[in-house]
Amino acid sequence: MNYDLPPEYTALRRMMREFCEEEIKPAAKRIDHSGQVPREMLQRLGELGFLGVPFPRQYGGMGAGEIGYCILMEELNRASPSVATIVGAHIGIGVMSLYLDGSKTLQDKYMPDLCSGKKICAFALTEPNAGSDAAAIQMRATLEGDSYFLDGQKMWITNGPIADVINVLALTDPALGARGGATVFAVEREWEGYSTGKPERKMGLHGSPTSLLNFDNVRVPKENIVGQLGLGFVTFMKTLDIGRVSLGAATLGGAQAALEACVRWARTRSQFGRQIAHMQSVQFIVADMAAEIEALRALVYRTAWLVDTGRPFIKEAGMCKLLGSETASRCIDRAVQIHGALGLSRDFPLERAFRDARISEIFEGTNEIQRIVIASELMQEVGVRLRP
Amino acid sequence: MDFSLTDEQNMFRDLFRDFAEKEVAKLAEHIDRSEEPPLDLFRKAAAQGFFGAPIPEAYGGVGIDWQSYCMLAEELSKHCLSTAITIGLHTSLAALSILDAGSEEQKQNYLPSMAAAEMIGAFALTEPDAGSDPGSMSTLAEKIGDGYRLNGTKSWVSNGGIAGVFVVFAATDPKARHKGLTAFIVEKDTPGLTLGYREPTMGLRGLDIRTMYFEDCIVPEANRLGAENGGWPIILRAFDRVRLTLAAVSLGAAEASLALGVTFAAERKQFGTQIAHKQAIQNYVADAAVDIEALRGLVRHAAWLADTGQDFGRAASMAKYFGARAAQNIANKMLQTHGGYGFSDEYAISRYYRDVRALRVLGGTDEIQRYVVARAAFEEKGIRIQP
Amino acid sequence: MNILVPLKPILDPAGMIVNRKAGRVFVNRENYMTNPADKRALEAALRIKDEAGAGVIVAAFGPDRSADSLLEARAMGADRAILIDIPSPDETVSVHALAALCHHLGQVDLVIVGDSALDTGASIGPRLAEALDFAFLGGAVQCSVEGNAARIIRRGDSRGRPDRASARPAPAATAHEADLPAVVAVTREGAQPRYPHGGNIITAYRDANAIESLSPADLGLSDSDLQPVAIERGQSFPPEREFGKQASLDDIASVIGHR
Ligand SMILES: Cc1cc2nc3c(=O)[nH]c(=O)nc-3n(C[C@H](O)[C@H](O)[C@H](O)COP(=O)(O)OP(=O)(O)OC[C@H]3O[C@@H](n4cnc5c(N)ncnc54)[C@H](O)[C@@H]3O)c2cc1C
Ligand SMILES: Cc1cc2nc3c(=O)[nH]c(=O)nc-3n(C[C@H](O)[C@H](O)[C@H](O)COP(=O)(O)OP(=O)(O)OC[C@H]3O[C@@H](n4cnc5c(N)ncnc54)[C@H](O)[C@@H]3O)c2cc1C
Repeated sequence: MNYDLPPEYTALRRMMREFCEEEIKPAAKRIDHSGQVPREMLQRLGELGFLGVPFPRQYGGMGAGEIGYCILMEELNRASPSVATIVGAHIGIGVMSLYLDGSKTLQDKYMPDLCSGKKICAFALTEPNAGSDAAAIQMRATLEGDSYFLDGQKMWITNGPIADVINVLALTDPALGARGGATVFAVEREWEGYSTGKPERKMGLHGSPTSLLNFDNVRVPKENIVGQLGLGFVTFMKTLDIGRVSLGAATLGGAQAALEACVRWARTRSQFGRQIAHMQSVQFIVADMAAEIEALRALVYRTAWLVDTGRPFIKEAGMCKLLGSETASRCIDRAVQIHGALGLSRDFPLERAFRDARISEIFEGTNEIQRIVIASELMQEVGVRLRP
Repeated sequence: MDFSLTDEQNMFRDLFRDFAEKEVAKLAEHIDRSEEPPLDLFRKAAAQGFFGAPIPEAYGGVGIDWQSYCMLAEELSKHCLSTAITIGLHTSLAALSILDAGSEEQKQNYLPSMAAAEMIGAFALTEPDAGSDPGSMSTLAEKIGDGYRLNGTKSWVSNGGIAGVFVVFAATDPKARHKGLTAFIVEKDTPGLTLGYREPTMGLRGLDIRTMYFEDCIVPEANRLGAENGGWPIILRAFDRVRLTLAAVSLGAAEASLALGVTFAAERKQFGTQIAHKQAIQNYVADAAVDIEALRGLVRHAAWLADTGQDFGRAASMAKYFGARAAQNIANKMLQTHGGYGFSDEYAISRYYRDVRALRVLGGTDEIQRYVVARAAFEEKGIRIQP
Repeated sequence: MNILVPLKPILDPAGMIVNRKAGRVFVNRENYMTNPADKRALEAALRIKDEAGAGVIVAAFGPDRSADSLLEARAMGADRAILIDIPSPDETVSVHALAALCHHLGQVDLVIVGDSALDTGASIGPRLAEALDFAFLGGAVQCSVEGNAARIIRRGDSRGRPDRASARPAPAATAHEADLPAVVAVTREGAQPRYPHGGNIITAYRDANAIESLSPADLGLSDSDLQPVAIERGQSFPPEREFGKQASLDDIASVIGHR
């Protein structure tokens, strides 16, 4: 047993922390207000390898595995959840499906530009009537000659308005349904018939654009099938499984930042003639936060290690997302409480953190679905198969 | 024992509900987005007597009891928390403090125009360095001739930007801490009083919250509210009232959130059925309904204590603490029930989620309410605990 | 052309609290970082490498705490990293060892150092130049190599300290040159050090040969070369500075009248 991270990861974290503190955090408020992350910032992330952490060097990635990627998401989310979400959708689910199942040709074609930040990726699964029930998708892909024609609508797609390459799941054989009859396609933004809706107005994550995608008879050459014909659902579910680990890591960063803010504020603020750090109500809040965060940290990095060493990790990944999103929301909520009225002021970063954190309990599979995933894995061990 | 409402109370509730559904509901989203207090709406509400509901008829109010007044807060917050809190703080903190401690002349002077919303009331207690601990305030009132000179800063004054009259607390004997505070009635245009920064907030965006500066602001002795150094009991009674009011606000917010969640779950289909059929959703709904009924009990009980002239401070604290947390929990679970839609500004639940968060801070934080409740418990054993 | 950049790991001041009353420095978090001026020196060297082509060699004393500084430098673009096996040498020993290293490496044309260490305030540049018989250029915020000369930019004192002879304010920046070989000292106002590509960090750390180790014997250093000259006797704080007096208008008038 060895809980020490190899020193390269500590060095990587040091560099990422420094970069995030100096280049991203000062811009976080502006990003929230303007509703935009400057493209140059994403480019800069690409130059340093941030947009390809888990992918091999030959594609311009970092080759730092899931552990390195978790460190990145943790650090990014401390600084700006909007940036972290753009990067998470880009790497964690977008490029990831290409990397997991894409052909060598497709990987060679897209991954270098995607890892360098020249191009941004999106992952398009959700539809108006297919949210948690992803298998209910209705988007169609019809074969004509050596091309498929895509027709339908995707919604709530992170990076929708800015993505250059979109991995999208569509039914190639409606009779078989999503399981067995759906295929993933890589679509480029310039292709005719593809358009995006206006960015959604959301409670939080204002800098991370989310939108509807319209596919109006978009022609996609056969070579742009990601993975195998008819097995797209499996590709996407595999992608989501692995994405949950790094989402857990992101929530860890948010929770940790909230804890640090509390400790600082409890030292600064005095009421009743002493620092509120001396009030037991405040101490216990801080102690509970710290304990929960430690537990989360242990779970996230152990799961990342399972991924990097090729062990089974699906149940644990669901746990990372479930525990992480709830821990982060709870910790940030408590941090708001410790800051009193200031915690609710838009002049202070906690208010933004509070709005930004909530979505982690919903996207990439709601927490209810995670509970079902975890319970299914447990029940399967005793031979019971659950249906959602 | 009788838990039923009187005919009169029932009638008032229907009146409030009707007004809220017809007039408030349609404006709620606009109020949140524009961040503007809806002055027209306030005029309409005042015409129905809602700005002076518990003020006796002799002073231009309606003179309804606490039970009914709580239902006003509840019904309004079923649609718009900003509006409910604007009216609630105007009434419970400002107007009722004047009724509570004012001279006959002061009551005659202010209460009728407050009830008519010609003068909206605000309550200026909190300061940058005095939040949970008002006894440490540093705004000073020096006696000069037949008046007082006020100097200092007040923060987080709800209704600040739209108020015509402020109930302001300042130290007349700073060494005596809370025993040296005095209350004053200060009108908007008094020289030396300037309104500062409008607080940008996460929720309650229709509430105009200001910082206020007093620079050699002269207040005549006739506008001192209650005795010199007699401010603290006024504050404590205002706390009791505002806590009960906010508990009723929590109740309305919780009910509205639950209703939004239930409606959504009945319509949204996933996995081939309405999500209402999923146990996860059923559990959220059931837990919410239980909390709401418990909260209603706490609010009604505290209102009954108030109406029968009993001490309702501890009951109000409990109701406020329980209510604020329940409202937040329920808004949270109902947002969850909405899935991704709950995160969208197009669905009202996200507004409730942002709005209810303040209920755990204003009117005394959760921690302070727990202190109040624990203090009462230990007092019975002869132990006096300090915050 | 080869450029040597010595790096010193120091305690991160963010993890320390200075308590004057107790007369002590409390270390809350023991974290080491590369001395900021040294890091800027490295950046200056890497820029010369980018523009003119050069081999950049970094060196640090060890065995403890130096690995991170050296590997980070490798990730940023240094071609070789050398760990000199002398634990915490004082200034004199450092100068002996670095001079010996230059001889050992041969063909070191330029040494770029940080102009002072954040922890001890020590500045090895001039002494190293003396020991090597190189030219010395201090106070650089920029450094380039043109032909056979090192050229630096020195920023004038930002307060515009008057030049005594002419009573004119010093110019904002001046350029200075010296023939190679030379030692250049870069200040903390030098160019912002680059962030390494994350992949280079991973590669550097996973490369077992990223750091070369040299013992004092390898450098031909004798025991007497390794004897520290400075001995630490204890720690104390400089006396607290007194507040200045706010001059009244009358005071100022009387001073002017005096002139
Ligand atoms: C900011 C944002 C970014 C997003 N980014 C992307 C993206 O990049 N790509 C993409 O494809 N999608 C994206 N989504 C969509 C997201 O993944 C969905 O919102 C999510 O899967 C939930 O689906 P839904 O919103 O339709 O909720 P629904 O599925 O309608 O769920 C409503 C409620 O019912 C519950 N529920 C549903 N089924 C069950 C069940 N069987 N048992 C118990 N409870 C159940 C849910 O847990 C939830 O509480 C994004 C959403 C948001 C808000
Ligand atoms: C929307 C809104 C409207 C408001 N409207 C008004 C208004 O109209 N008029 C007005 O005067 N004020 C108003 N306030 C201010 C409000 O009353 C204060 O925010 C509240 O009293 C808390 O003070 P604080 O924010 O300074 O927090 P602090 O007192 O600084 O508290 C910080 C944290 O320390 C905790 N803490 C403090 N003391 C103790 C203790 N002894 N034991 C345990 N924990 C403790 C608190 O619970 C909190 O978690 C409003 C606030 C908000 C958010």
